[in-house]
Amino acid sequence: MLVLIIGDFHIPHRQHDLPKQFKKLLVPGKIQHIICTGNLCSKETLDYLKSLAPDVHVVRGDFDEMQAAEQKVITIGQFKVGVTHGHQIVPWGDPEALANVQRQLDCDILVTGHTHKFEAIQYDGKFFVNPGSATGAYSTLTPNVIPSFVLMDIQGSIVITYVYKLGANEVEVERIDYAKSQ
Amino acid sequence: SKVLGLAAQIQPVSQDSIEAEILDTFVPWALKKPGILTKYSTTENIPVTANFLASEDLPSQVKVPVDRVKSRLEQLEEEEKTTTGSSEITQLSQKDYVIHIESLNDDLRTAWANEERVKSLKLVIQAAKLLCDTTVIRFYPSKFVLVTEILDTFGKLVYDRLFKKGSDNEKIPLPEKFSAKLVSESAKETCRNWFFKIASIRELIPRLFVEMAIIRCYNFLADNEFPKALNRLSTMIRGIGDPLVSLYARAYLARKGFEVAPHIKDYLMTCFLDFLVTQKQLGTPHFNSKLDSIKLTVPEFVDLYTPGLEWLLQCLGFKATEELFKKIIQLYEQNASNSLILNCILSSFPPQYIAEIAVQITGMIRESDPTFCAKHLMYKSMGVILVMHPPKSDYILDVLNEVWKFVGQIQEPKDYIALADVYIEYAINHCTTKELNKLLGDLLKHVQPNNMFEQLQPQLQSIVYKIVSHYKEFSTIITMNKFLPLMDLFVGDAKVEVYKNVLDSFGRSSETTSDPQLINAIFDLCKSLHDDINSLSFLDEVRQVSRLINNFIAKVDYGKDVEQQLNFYVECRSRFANLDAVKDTLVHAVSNLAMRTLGLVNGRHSKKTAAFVRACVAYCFITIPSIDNIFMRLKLYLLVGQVAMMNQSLPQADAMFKTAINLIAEVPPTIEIDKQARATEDMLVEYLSHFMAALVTIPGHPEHGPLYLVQGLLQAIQDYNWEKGSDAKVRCYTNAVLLFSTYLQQSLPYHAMKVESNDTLFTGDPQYAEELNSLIDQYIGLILTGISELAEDEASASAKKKQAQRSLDLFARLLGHAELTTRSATLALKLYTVAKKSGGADAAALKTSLKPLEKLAKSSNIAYELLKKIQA
Amino acid sequence: MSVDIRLKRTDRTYFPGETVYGFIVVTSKGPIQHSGITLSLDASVTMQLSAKSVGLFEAFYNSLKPVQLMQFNLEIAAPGKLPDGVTELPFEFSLKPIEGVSLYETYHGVFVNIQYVLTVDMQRPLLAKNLKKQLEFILQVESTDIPKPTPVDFNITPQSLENVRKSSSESIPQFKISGRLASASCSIEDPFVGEITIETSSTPIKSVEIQLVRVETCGSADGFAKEATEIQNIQVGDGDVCQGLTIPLHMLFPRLFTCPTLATRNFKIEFEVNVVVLLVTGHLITENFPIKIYRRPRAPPPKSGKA
Repeated sequence: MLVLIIGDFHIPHRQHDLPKQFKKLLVPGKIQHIICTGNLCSKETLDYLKSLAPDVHVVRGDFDEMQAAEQKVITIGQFKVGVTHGHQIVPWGDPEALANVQRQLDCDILVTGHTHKFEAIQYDGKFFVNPGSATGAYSTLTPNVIPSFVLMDIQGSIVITYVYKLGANEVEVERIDYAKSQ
Repeated sequence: SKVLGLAAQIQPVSQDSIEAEILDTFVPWALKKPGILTKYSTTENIPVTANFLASEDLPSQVKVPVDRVKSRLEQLEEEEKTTTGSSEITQLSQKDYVIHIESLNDDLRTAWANEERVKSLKLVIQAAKLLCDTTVIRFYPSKFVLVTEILDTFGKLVYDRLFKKGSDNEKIPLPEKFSAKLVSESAKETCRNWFFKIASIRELIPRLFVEMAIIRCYNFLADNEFPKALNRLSTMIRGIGDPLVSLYARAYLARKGFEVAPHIKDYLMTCFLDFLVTQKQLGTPHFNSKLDSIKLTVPEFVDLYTPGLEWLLQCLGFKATEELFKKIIQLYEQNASNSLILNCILSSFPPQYIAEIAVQITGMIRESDPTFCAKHLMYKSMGVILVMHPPKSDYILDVLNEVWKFVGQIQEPKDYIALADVYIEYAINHCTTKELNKLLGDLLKHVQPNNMFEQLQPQLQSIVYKIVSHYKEFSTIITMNKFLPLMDLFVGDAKVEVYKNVLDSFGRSSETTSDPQLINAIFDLCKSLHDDINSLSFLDEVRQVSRLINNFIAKVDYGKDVEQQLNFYVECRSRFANLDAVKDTLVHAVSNLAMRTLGLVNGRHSKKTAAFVRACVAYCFITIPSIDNIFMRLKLYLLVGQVAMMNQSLPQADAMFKTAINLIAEVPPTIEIDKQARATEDMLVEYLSHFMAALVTIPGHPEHGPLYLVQGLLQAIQDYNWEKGSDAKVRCYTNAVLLFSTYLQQSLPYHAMKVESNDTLFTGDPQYAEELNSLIDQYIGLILTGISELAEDEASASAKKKQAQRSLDLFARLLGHAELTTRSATLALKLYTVAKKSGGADAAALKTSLKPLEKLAKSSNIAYELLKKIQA
Repeated sequence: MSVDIRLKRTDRTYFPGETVYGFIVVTSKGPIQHSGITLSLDASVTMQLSAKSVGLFEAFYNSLKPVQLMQFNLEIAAPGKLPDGVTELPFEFSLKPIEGVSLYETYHGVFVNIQYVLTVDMQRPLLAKNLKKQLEFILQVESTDIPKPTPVDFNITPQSLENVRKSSSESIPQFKISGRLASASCSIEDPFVGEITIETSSTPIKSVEIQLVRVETCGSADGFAKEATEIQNIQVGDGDVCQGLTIPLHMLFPRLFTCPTLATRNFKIEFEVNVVVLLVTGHLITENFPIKIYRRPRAPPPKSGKA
């Protein structure tokens, strides 16, 4: 089962559109779930996601006007996936702070965004993913952001994570495996 | 087949493939019906024979000798009595007439269901007889629609019954497509009997209509019987004297024939030729006096032909060969002065044939007699086709010029614009913008005098929509100098709607632009929409207009000319001062501009770029206060502050942060979102948490100290008028403790690009560490007080729950973030005890909270001791 | 309890020389006692005089005797008992005339009738009602003499009319009607066809019709009673039909009421067609055409043997 993890678009505030190389990859009918870390910033972008997959789960970023939840937990196969944008976590992206959220949500995988920097770490037996910014929008830490998103292939108790990054005009893919601790 | 020398293609066609073929251009009867019923109505009463079943239609055996002349005349008189005798005729209004016919249809179904075959036949004959009567002639086409419904019902009932009977074995029905060889003898016999009975109906019109209704049943008697039957029926229709009735009989034959053999054209050709011949009847004195008596003009009478003729020609034109089409055109030119026929031909035959001889048709229309069909209608029929199917490229302009000669002279504005609309679309699709612009010029000339355009808003709207949806590049549209004057013609609601539509398609176009002419044009449209918004406007309206303006702002891109870009934003702010969402976008856009500049100089500003980004920040600083929504303001201050900081404009950043902190006190307990009051507490706590996380990178003040802003923020939190029983303060303080512990680290977990944060500036300063530690103690103290106060005033379930949550939260943080000391262990024990005693946490939550400690206890003595104490 | 006659052929149509197969069907609840079941055939020509002719001829002929064509009486079952439920008792007989006469085609006329009627009788013991049922079957007779098609052209103008009084001829509207019958000899199974064209008419037309008339003649060589009656009237033109447009004449011969034209010693059955044009002024223009109806022999049955 393919799950697209994507967010921090900031369209149109910081970028006009998704990179066309990403748009080419993201075609309808292949992805079952989309987990979005927020900061879509426009209805059009949400509509675009809805055109890609039947199930779109979105949380609210600091610049989203829509009435989405701040946190969500979605069960996909054997995994409970928690998601929150992460601007409100002090300090941003801190493993222990994230673990605290993970424990509160009682999830196996926690997805966050905001830093616009791809991360995938295992901490205390749990898996933490930040897909970065899909558009390469500037963050409040740097103007130089590499566009990226994550695709998770969930098979039984195994999650294979592919990260797609836009290098110099070329899409690079990396793979990270994670198995649920029984 | 001799008529045209065309070999009829009589291969049986399966119903599926017919339906598939029909889909493209053929308008099915079912879709035609509603239009006919609406157009041909009457306020007159319609006569109906009251004793419906009294008169005998099926001949019984005549037992009296024939004294030929005398008895025949008596018989006729008898009939006269039954059909015109005033005592037996009821006058019905159209509405009642429709009900009457519907009930006849019901009667037929009932009679059939009761196995009353003779009664069914009598009913259907009676129904068909209604078609002989043209007294209320304006209603006739509608009557045809209604009555043939009954005939169709009958045809279906008979067919279905025979189909069932057709198989000798009840368990194995006939296949959908079957050969007559398969049909059982008894079904054949019954079928023959039906045709015999119908053949003995005395009167011509009911006999024809009823046979046509069951024509499909010839399937049971023989294969390939249709060409013969259709040909015979088509000639028998010649016996109908009334030209209107005979046309509709032909139309019904075409309908029934099309159902069974859509590719056979011979009989349709006979019908069409005969129709042409019958047109000479219109000139006879007898006919004219008849029209006079019902106060109908010849053109009005001819208009009654329209649905029937359209249908006949549509069946003839369906998948017609080009040869057939040319023959029809030739026939029209030779015989007909009736331009209605030409108009029907235009809407019936394959468009590519019409496009092929568009020049010729243009001439035919020019020469036609407008009595029966106005020229503009015909030009329109042709135009509608040519829009999709252009003539050969050499003739594209010829046709347009020729038609426009006519269009340009039309005086009646509605007729003018209806036709201009079609040919402007033609020009859009097939010509250059130069020609289109010319047509628009002519359009302006026509509709500007006397403010005529005010009555033509929908039509003008349609023209604009066609233009904007066709051209992908908006700059192309603007190169036509008549386009903007066209936009000026809109008033009122139409103006708003059109402008929105134009802006919407502009927003959808993929290009960004720096074309001043285009930008100016769109600016004007946006400004106009913006100025229409006032305090009474609907929320949706405000949102929609904001979105359109924002799309426009996003489309304007001066590339590396960032100063020009900023000027544009300055202009936008002055023009769109009333819309929060637009100002929000502008602040974002300008922040983005500053960040783009920072990216361009790779983090190191020159004097010039530094000045520019300061101008950007200043722009934001001026813009933000004019926004109504307080949370929007708070967020933007925080964002722009960080942008300013990254751009090494620390004093400006400071000003932003300070303004934000000062603004906190103004956050009301509830705000209105989409007309609903919502508590702000959670939003505010979220914002404050965000602020604290941002503060990790924000350097302290050179004079006021490293923790100047943090303390300012905490003061604001402390001073804020929180709701009674709120745990917001405790939540904020917990984050403050986390922030302080982060500051204590040797190196901060993140930095803003090229910004020296507190780690670089102050770490190693013992005073700094000391201050942080004491702040941690102080705030833990405040948290503990806060927690204990939570359930002090009211011991409600929610208060208890908050108390337990906050205790366990801090308990978890202590275990997670800090190394466990005797002191923190004591604190942890205390927190856990509070959580447990509060009764606000369930056993499971309490147990889960201990998990990290259980893990720690394996390696740490203090943890082990703590766990033992907790479990004691 | 009922008794019924059922023939194997659903259309109940036979030709002379053929064998008729069928069943007597007895339906009963419980066993049934009877005193014999018989099947009889009555095939005859019956004649009758019209009221008009009665006075004239009755002195000579008290009644016109029916002509017996076929006659038999079969015992289907001897007296006995039939079981509960449906019992089928088969029968067969061949279609052969009584010596000296020939079989004629079924015909239902006014003064002449040719009918073939089967009757089943079930005699019941005392106090029980006898059961009876009748069934008519149809006999068709192929003509031995098949005439060649004989087309008939016609033109009608005021001048061509016969029974117009000289004095009134001037008040007659001007018209010219032309037409043609495909043939004056007609196969009974095919439609009667032809065409008619109103070339001109100074007065609008009200109706154009074809009238099928039978002419029945009864009696001996000494005296004949001849009667013409209308069988059917078919309108082919309604209202003021378009001048110059050729209208088809088309009419099916009704079953039972028409038969091949027949002339015997005792009676004759003949047919005529009238083409009638009615004007709105009430004028009636008629043209009469005697026709000969025949029945074409059946196509020989397909030869078996070759697959």
